[in-house]
Amino acid sequence: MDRLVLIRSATWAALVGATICSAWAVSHLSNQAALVGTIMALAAGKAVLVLRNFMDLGKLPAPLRWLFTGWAASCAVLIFTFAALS
Amino acid sequence: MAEAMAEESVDAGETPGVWTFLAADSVGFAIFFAVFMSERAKAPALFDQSARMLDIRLGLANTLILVTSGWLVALAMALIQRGRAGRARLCLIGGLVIGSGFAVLKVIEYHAKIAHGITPATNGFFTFYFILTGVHFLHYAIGLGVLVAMIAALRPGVRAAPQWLESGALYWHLVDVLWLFLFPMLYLLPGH
Repeated sequence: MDRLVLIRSATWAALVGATICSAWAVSHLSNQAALVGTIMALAAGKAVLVLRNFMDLGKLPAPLRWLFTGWAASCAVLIFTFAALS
Repeated sequence: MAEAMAEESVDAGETPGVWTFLAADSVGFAIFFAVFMSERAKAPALFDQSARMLDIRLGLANTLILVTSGWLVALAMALIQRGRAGRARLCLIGGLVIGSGFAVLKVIEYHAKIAHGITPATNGFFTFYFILTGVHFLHYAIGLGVLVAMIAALRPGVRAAPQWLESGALYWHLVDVLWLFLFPMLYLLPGH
């Protein structure tokens, strides 16, 4: 099978798995910080997977690559920090 | 030769342009996320109680719909690169059909909320809920229109895929990425 098709299909499987894991975590993790950390780490990981493997972020110049990867990480850290503080 | 060079230069100029737009849009949403979370920090009990009124199953289903639709669009772009426009078109149609499910579930969700008397005026959480999901839905609706245009551009008989298809696919993926943060922020944060 075509390598690009294989990578994109594996990415889709990982996205589905991570989405189900995040919903599972809600009913199985009782520690709030651990729960929020897990949920947001999964969200950031999924966003980076889409950016890299669906949107071909790797083909862009380094500054744009860092901008989008940094954006995904920043959103996750921001939401985690506010949730942990409240 | 000259035509090929012209196409190349259009492509080279187009991609950074669409990425600039995507970057600006992403930063706009990051500001939305920050404002929502700062308001949540001021009234965590109210936001948690309100978040419990959302149906996680609908949010989960919509996430799976968008990632599956995005995967089919990504496959379509891979097939276009290999000159297989017919199969790419089928993938795009699949992405459109599956992606349409997001609208169906969102309408069901909005209808259920409004039927229970929950509106943007109910409280701060639901003001943000309707604004954030509404702005995202607007992006999504434009994305659906873009997918329809992409399918039309690949109609049987067309020899070469237009260069803008890549920009359309990137836009659809951004709709997906934005939802990947909206889903946990609105539906999954502690409160359930």
